[in-house]
Amino acid sequence: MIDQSGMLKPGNSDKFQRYNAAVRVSSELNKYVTLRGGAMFSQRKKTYPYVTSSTTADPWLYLYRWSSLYPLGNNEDGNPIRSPWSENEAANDAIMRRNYINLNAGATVNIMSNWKVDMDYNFTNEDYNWRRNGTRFTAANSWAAAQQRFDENGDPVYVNSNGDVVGAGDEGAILAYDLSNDPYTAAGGVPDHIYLRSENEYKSTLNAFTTYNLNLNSDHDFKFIAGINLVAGRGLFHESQKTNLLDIDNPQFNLATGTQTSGGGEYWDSQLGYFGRVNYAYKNKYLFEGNLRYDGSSTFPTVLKWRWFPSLSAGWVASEESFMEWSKPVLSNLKFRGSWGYIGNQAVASDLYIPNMEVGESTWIANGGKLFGVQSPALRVMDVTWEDLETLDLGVDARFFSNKLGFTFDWYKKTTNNLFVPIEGTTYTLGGPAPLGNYGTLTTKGFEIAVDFNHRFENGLGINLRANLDDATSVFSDYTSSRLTNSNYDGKTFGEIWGYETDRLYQYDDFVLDGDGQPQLVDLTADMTRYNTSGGGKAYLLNGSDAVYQPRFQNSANFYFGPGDVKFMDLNGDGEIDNGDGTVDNPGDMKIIGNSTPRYSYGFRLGADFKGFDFSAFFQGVGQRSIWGAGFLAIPGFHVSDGAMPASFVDDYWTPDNQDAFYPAAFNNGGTANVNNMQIQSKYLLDMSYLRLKNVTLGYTVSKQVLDRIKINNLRLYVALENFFTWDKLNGLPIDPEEVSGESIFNATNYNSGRTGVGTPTFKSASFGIQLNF
Amino acid sequence: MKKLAYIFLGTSLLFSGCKDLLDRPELTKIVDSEDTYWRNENDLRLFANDFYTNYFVGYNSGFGTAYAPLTGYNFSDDLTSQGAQLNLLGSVPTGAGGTSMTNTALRTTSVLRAEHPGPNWNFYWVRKSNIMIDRLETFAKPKLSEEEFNHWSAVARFFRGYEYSRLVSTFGDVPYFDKPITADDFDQMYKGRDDRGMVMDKVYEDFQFVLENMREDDGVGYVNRYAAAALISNLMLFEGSWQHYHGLDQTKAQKYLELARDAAQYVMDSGKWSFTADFKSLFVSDNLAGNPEVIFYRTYDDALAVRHAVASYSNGTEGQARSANLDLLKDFVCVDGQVWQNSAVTDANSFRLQDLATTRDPRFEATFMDTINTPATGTLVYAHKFAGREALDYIGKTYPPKWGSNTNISDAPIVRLAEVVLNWVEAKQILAENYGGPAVTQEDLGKSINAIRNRPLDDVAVAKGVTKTAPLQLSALPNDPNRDADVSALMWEIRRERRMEFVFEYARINDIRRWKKLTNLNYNNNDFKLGSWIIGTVDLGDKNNPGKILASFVNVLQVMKTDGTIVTYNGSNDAEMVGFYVVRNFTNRLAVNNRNYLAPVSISLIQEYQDRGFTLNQTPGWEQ
Repeated sequence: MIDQSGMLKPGNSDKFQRYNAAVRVSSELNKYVTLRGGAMFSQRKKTYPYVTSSTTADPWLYLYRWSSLYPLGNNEDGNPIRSPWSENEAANDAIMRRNYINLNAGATVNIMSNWKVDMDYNFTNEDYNWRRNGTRFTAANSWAAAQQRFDENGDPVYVNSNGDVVGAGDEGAILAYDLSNDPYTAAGGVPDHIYLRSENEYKSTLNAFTTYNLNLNSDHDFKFIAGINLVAGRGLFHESQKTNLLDIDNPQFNLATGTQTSGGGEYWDSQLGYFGRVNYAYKNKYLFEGNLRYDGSSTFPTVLKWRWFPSLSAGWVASEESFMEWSKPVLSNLKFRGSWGYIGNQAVASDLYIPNMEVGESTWIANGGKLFGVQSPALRVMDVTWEDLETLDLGVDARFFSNKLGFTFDWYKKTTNNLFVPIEGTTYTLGGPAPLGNYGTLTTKGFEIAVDFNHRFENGLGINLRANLDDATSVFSDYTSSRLTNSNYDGKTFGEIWGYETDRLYQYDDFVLDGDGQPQLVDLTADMTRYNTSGGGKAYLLNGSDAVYQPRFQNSANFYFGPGDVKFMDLNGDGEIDNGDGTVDNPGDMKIIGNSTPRYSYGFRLGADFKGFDFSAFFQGVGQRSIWGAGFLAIPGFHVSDGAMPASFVDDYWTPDNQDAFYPAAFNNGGTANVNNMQIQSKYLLDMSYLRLKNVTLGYTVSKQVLDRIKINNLRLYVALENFFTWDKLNGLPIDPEEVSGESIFNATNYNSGRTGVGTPTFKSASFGIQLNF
Repeated sequence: MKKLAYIFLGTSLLFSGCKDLLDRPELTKIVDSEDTYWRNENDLRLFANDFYTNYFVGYNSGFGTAYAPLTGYNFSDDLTSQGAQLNLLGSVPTGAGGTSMTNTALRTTSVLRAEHPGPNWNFYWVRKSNIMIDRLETFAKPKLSEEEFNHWSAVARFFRGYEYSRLVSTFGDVPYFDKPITADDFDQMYKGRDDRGMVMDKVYEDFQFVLENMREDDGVGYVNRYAAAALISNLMLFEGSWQHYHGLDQTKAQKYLELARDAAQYVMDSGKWSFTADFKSLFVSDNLAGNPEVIFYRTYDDALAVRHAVASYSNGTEGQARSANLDLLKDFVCVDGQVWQNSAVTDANSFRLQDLATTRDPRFEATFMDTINTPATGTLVYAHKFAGREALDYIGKTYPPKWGSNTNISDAPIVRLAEVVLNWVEAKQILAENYGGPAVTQEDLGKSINAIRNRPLDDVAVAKGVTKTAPLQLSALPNDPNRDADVSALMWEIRRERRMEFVFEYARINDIRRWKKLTNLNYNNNDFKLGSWIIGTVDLGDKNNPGKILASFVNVLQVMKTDGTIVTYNGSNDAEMVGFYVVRNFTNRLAVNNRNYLAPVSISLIQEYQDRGFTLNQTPGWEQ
């Protein structure tokens, strides 16, 4: 059982709980038949204050967004001031609850000593419900104009700067205003509702196979397996909501009087596969395996449902060879491995080849009700079939010094052929999104290395170390003839980021200054640039006749590159800063400045134990990852209306008094991404590489002798720290280096509108514990 | 043991005949095929329902602004903002057009730009109407009566014509498709632009079919021949006058203008609508069902949670970034039917809002507040057209949902008789002046401009002293000293009538585009930089400090005297602060170019065509 408190203090209901229970029995009826069965139950429950149904602007966003000057708490009348805090405090709970049940039964039949049959049937049922208890908020409303305070005679009241009432003529007297303590959520508006979603998903899995072992001349071991697996699943969900709660303390469907809305759906799928496998080992030195599968999926059109998938692997245990005898004192085990094979992927929607139409409710009203409308049929490619994953893996395992030191290395190449991707090359005149089909190839090459070591010294001190490192890159091919940098052109590396190279910030001496020492705004001419010259564009006059102007990036009406603004590198030397044709072959001054895929992921664990004390530390890190941030925590000057701003920006932006600043001169980009100074560029790309101490634990186990006396089997005390230390290169920005912008459990792609760093922060937790077994 | 082996064998045999097991089609969507859909009138109606909110936007919904009056249509030479005036597009956009290729984005109702308020380079709706026409022909025809077939064909062709009219008004030449394209038919997809006239001839054919075949009544809330005819008169007037004033094909100009005139005439002759409701009631009524002037409207309903925010932005508190400039105020006729310079009405030359409310056409009082209101940050002239009179009582208080936030429920007129008669009289006049059409008579004015001027007045307006404007007389047309030399006196009055009628609606920006008067946006006279006549201590006075202007206006407030001198408030010259309000920090926009009449396509779109061996021509004037 796990019971975990969340990050949100106000409202006191941000929690996660998990219960697990399992039972498993096995019975050998006779020497031929063994029967087994089991059941498992698990419940996961997430509770949080239900402030809004929005996942694109939830309370976390506002907590980061609002300035630290903004008052939180109660005003002098004891009323809460409208804020994310007050809303969390006043909110009712939302509860997500998942019940998972798994039942399984199986049998093994030993027909002969070397021939057996295994059968297992699995049934899982997952119930999910999500209840959202809404409310209406009342607070001192800082979003509406303050109300002037009058006394009983209707005369204006004056206060001093402390808020004390003073006479009109007194020193420092100002008119008194109050925030009005209003219910500010409209009746029936979000979140004045109760909402419930229920979902039930069940799945049957059958695995049955037979195994036959054959040993010839004691040196040749064969194993034959043939089998079948079957998966069939189905799910149903419905949701309903009713607005206008009668009692905001007890949200109930029966006690709501407003609009009812409902929805629901159903889905099902199935896969069936037959497989055969042959294993051969010669003296446990030479190992071979061959597989052949024949798989069918409900996802594809009838003629394309079934496919063959072969695979092969081989291994050589070199340390078993007699000619390796000499190495025995050091080398305990050495094995070379290689495998190659195909498997299929069918995890796509089941209607990719069916031109179907969705029904949606419209906001057009006729005859007293909202109309439903049937939308255009989906555009389709008819011959959709399996995606093929071809894997080639070469590896070596070695262990030394009586297995104390181990080393594993793998190099692999995974080629995904017939990728599920939209048909390439459609344009807007088609009138719909390009349909998915099987096109193109994604090739991933990578390696994994792991090392482990453990040793116990004579004095009882035990130490163990584990370290791993892996890395992979993926490249597109055979998909499109397009060379546009934003397409999946041939040779594109997955996750690459195209941008400009930042040269530096402009300084005063870059400009021709006027008598007052200020740069001068002049009309652009064709000599200076080919952009924005005919429309009367302007720029600050630069020194030198061959100076490079950047009018292409003067995206706001009153923005001109001046002292403190970003100077980009004219990489292709054509005297303009632009993206050329926007193609790989002529990207203008753009280049690949980074990649958003995590590279060089590594981890290491150090452990030691001595006389009942145990210690472990687990570090995790990513060696290379960049993202171009979004929103006010990542982009200086993103939008002044956002209020809060990271100290890193505030403390180090360009002003005439701080000319060697890291960030450019202040400008309000009005909430628009990638404009003016903030073009995607090398200098302000976020370096998301990090090293984090994920866990460090110190424990003490009380010795057996002591425990036996008090009839306790095992007693351990421990203290653990989670995520306590992180080393990153984010220049002090309040962004977690592990985060992916826009990803959360509430909204997988556009959480809080995709802004960087505005979700639930990573937990830092310290815990003390006792483990007790009787 | 043998038994178990048999069981095992049995199970595997069972699953080897698994055709059914793997047959699990999508359950929650309808398949587009002859057997599963397009079976009856109801299927067609459901398919057509999807068009409605994209074409009959009304006040949009929620906080949506596209194609909505005031919140969406707030850019024209009527209006001036504080600071820098919004520039017209200055360079060709790089991106493919701003919409990603997802279904939702394609279906979104959005406006490309303020100066050409039409759709983006987006053919979702063209495909939709082409599919409907195609399926009617291939699947539904045998299952429908002739009348049903004709009606639903007319509905599909109406929306296709509407969409192409919008696309043409934004981009000029566009590729014309009359059939749905398949995802791998690249030759069709990448075909070049068709000539604007060719496209609009196709639209013309569609519209003619609509006017002959659409039902005259298909139930409340569903498009019918009258609503279609009224909207067709708008679209055809746009195209006919564009062809005419932009010097394109004069034969086509005549043809389209005649259709504009005839479609309007059809609505007028029906006698179903009249000018017997007051102007304000058109925009602020909870229910437009009985309104005698409204031909087609969009219903909003609190219980159904279909609400809008247009009224809120007219409630006296919400900001209006662009607001009416003196050029617009001066264009309103006085109640004696004369321009202010020649009017005999007392105080006709006063530009105090309080005076304008009674000396000018009653639409002035119904459109604007009669006091200065600072949330109209441009000129302080606040448009109150879309909120009920009682909404102003809530300034400084919490608004009821009806007039606040995105919870407004006033119904929106989609098309009303005033548009029809003004289209009609303008089409007639262009035809008369240029194409040998019969001259506009006094009787024609009686059916159009003078019928509008004879609208009843509501009680509050009457109590304020608002009176109806005298009829326009052919024999005594106003002599406006500001009339453009290339516009006849009668045409000038027809245009003025539109300007007064449609403040903050869809018409003005498109009118100056089709008249080839986009250069009005150059704001090269002072009237564009000024608001109404203010008396600082009265209009912006400090309540707690009588005789003083609010301290926040020190060094901010400026007025212009009649002789053109500008006075800035310095904290002590309160008495001098009387004059035309000067827009704060006014800076003019970049000069309008000829190319700004039409939108360019993006660089990457042209590149995309090139990449695949096709050619998409750039809109004239935007080539690089």
